[in-house]
Formats: sequence, C-alpha cells, structure tokens
Amino acid sequence: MALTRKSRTAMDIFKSNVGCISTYSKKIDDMLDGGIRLGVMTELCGNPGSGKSNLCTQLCVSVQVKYGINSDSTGTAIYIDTEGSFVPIRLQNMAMTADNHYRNHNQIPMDANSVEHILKNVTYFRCMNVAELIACLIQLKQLMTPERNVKLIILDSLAHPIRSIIDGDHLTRHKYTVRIVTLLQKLASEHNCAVVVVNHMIAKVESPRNEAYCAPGNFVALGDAFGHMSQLRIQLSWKMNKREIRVLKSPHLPEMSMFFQITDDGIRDINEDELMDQDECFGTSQENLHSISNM
Amino acid sequence: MPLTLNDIDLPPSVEGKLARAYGSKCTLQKFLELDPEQVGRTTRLLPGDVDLAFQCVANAFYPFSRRQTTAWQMTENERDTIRVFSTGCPILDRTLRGGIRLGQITELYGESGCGKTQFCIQLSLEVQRTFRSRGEEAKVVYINTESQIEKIDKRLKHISYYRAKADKPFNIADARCLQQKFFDNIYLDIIRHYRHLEMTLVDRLPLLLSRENNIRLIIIDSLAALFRSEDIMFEHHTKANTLQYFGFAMHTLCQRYNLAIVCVNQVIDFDHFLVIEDLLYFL
Repeated sequence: MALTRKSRTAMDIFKSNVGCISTYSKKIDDMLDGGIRLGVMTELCGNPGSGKSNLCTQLCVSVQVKYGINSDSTGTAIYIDTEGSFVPIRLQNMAMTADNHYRNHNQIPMDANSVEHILKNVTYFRCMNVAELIACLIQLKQLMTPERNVKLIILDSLAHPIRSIIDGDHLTRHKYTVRIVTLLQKLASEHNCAVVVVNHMIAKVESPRNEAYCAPGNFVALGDAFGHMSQLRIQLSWKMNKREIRVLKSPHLPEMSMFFQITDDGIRDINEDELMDQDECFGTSQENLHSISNM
Repeated sequence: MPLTLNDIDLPPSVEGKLARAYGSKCTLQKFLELDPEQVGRTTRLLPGDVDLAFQCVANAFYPFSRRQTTAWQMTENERDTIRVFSTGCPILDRTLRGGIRLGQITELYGESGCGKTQFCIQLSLEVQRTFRSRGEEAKVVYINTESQIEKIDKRLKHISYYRAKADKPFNIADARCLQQKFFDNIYLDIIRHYRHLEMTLVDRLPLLLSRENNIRLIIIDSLAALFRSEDIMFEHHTKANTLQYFGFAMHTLCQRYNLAIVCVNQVIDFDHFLVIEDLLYFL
C-alpha cells in the first residue's frame, strides 16, 4: 500500500469524475446528482416498512448492470445483513428485469447465465451482534481485490446491533458506532467503493409521565455523533399514500424530496397521471424505467 | 462453548503479551469489542502486531469460509430446502409469495375477535403438513398468554381432525392417528408475565431447540397482552427496552435454529391524543 500522498488541488478532484450508482429511478438520480457516490458513506434512514432494504437490493443490481455517469464499468456488491431483511428471491426478480431491460436497450442477445452471474456477484454476510460485525469488517479487506472489483458495501442495518446492546449506556454504544464507522470509511476511501448504512428512526418521549405524547419516527437513531459521520443522509417515508425520499443532509445537494414507488421490478418513478389508477402499476412499470444509455 | 484467546494461533511474543494483559481465558467476543489503540497501549505491542492479532481473532470468531455466501447460493438453497411454508389459504399464500418464511419474524395484528388465534392454530397445523409432504417432520412451540387452554385445545382438535381427513387417510383410525401425531408435535406453554417470556426466549427455548432440532415454528400469542396487564405499570422506556431485548432474542433464535416466529399484536383505539402504538415497532 503506497503511503506517500502528494497533495491534490481542488481542480484535480473536480476533474477526476467520481462514479455514481444509479437507483433506477430517474427523478431520484437527478435529485442526488447522479446517484449514490463512490468513496463516501451514505446513510439511509426511515421508519419500518419505508423501503430501505428494497432500495439496498436495487442498488446491488444497479451496481452490476451499469453504473456511473462518467465511467463505463461495473462492480460487485457486498451485503452485510444484521436483521435478516434480505430475501434472495427479490434480488433475483430485480436482476431479471434489469437484465432484460439492458439487453433490450442495447440489442444484446439473451444469455441464460446472466442472472446467475448477477446473483453470484453479490456476497452476503449475516452478523448477529456487534462483535461479529466488527470481525466481518476487519476481514473484509481480503475481499477487496481488483478481480472482485467491489464497488458497493451495504450495511443493513447499523442501528439494530447497536441498539441491542443491553448492558451499556450511550457511551458504550457510541464507542462501537465509531469503531464500525471508521472501519467502513477506511474501506470506502481506500478502495473507492460506495458504502450505504441503514439506520432506524426512534420515538422521543417528551417526559416520562406523558406517555401519550409519543410520536414515533421523529428522530434518527444512533445520536448526533453518528449524524456527523455520513456524507449524505437520505430519509424514506410515507406521505399521503405515496413513498417519499428526502435528502436530509448533504454538503452540496439542496434539501429536496421526491416521490417514488416500489414495484415488482424494483424502485421506479411515479408518473403523476397514473396515481389514480393503482392497477396500472404493473403494466406500465416498463415505461417508468429511464433509459440507461442516458447515464 | 465460546472461544477464548487460548484457542487461536498467534506468534508467541504477541500471544504472551496478550495473555498477560487480558488473561488467556478472555473470550474472542470481548476482545473484538476492545479499542485497538487501547490494546496497543496496554500490551505495548506495535500497531502492526495489534492489527495481526485482531485479524487472527476475527478470522477465528467469524470465519469467512463458513459464513460467506453469495446470493446465488442462497437462491439455490431456496429450491433445495424448505424456506417457506403454506398458510393453508391459497389466496394468502399467493399474496405472501409462498407463505410464512423461515428465518424471519412475522407480525400478525388486528382488533379483538378478528381471528388471530384461529390463524395461529391453523399455522401450527399447516407447517406440519408442509413439511410432511416433503418427508420431513416439523414441530411447533405455541406460547399462549391470554386465553384459557381449553378453548385452544378444543379448536385444535376440530381443525386437526378435518385437516387429517383432507390428507386422504385409509380409514377413521388412520385419521385419528394422524390427528394425534399433529397434536404430539405442538409444545404448548402458558406465560403470563413478561419476565417469564424473557427467560423463555433466552434460556428455556435454546435448551429445547438443542434437544429437538425439528422445531420450525414458534408462535407467541399474544405479545401485546403481556404489556397491557392492569396490575403492572410500565414506564415507557422499560417497555421499549424490554421489547428491544425480545426482538433481539427472537432474531437470534430465528437465524440460529432456522425457524419462523409469529408474534400476535393488538391495536388500540385512535383517540384525540393517543397515537396508534405499534408495540413491535422497536423490533
């Protein structure tokens, strides 16, 4: 590992186009200025059932089919699961649709093994507690070889093992959070891969006695210390029967929000005029895919 | 038996210093949770040696050769072993894409009297039928917290008799035999206090599961009743912490023993100042 670093100017960094991973929804990609960026840590938070694990599975597919506005390459993914919310059949469905779309668009003949190939490129780990998670991250270095070309590491979720630490106060939890996040950030910057960390939302009670005034899902879990560590914070939620994605914290993106939907095929845009008719969702999902050649 | 520092191979000088600082009986889990800089300071090891020590410990605690898998292997696994079992109703099965999955916690909620207990009883029979049709056996643990045992017993007799008949037995004796077999495979327990449930999830169930490796479903009917009793006042954070602990214990059970857990929840009224309290929200 080369340890000498020469200084880089801002112009160098500006010119060295950072690749992004698309989320397969054109509006979300536009809002995020390309998608999930490589080399930095992105945080995904939201209430239960808001679509975080689905978005992570979609990213596993899009990192392989094609990613990057400015680069032409693909990469593999590593999925570290702590809550058991990864279902391989879902990944298979998304992979089949993405593959079909890609081949139809670029006129490549069908290949029976391509979906198998996509699935083989997603490495899966299941960690039950903080110690297993730390052990897994320490050893992840040996998987980051050039042949493997890992471009995406997903940690779903960080909040679950940290919040399950029973015999510890918030200082202990903070210590573990810092340890895990520094390991991840080192991996992200050294190997130029995107790191996505999934977080929970918690309820804050106003006072111990007024239990009635508890509104769930107002605050992001893991505290302010973790809040400073991610480069981009995205919140998923439900607003008036539609799924909403909102940028909460970013150095350069405006705080916008956008609606999207999750279909059989994955994450897609919502067309404004078909909000009335829910049955059309499956039939018109193909039209909602934005053309990949624009990336 | 958890692994300790004794059980891994390290260069002798490193091992000696670690043993002097933390004792050779220090479990690998505790060692991994320490801060590397702190370890370097306490044992006066070089940073490279500390890194090496952590790598070796991590490798022994969480071996990649056993834990690493790809999504492709998981889909192949889905085809070879049973990962979902039917709920008994074809429409529900279609909505749930097959039925209830093993390795996951399923939450069932609804108003009182809408059929949650009935559904749980049916599930406990259906899981046995699904596994029987593939030649394997499945047992069920049914943890009951609210109704009396006689009601469940009677209903179980009814449903199991009709299910046994549906499997086309030879004669009535065979049907009774099948019904008895369905019965024998259900472990029933009555728990009325949340501390007992905690004890069950952490101590008693792992013991049972290590003896009987065919248990495929655990039903907790219902989780909400434990927290809504009149004679115990719950502080909000105690409830939250306990539920969090339950959730964690249930996840560990699901994953380690490859079974499904079904929890039954209740809903409360929408009042001016009350928000719907989803008790399992913290899971």
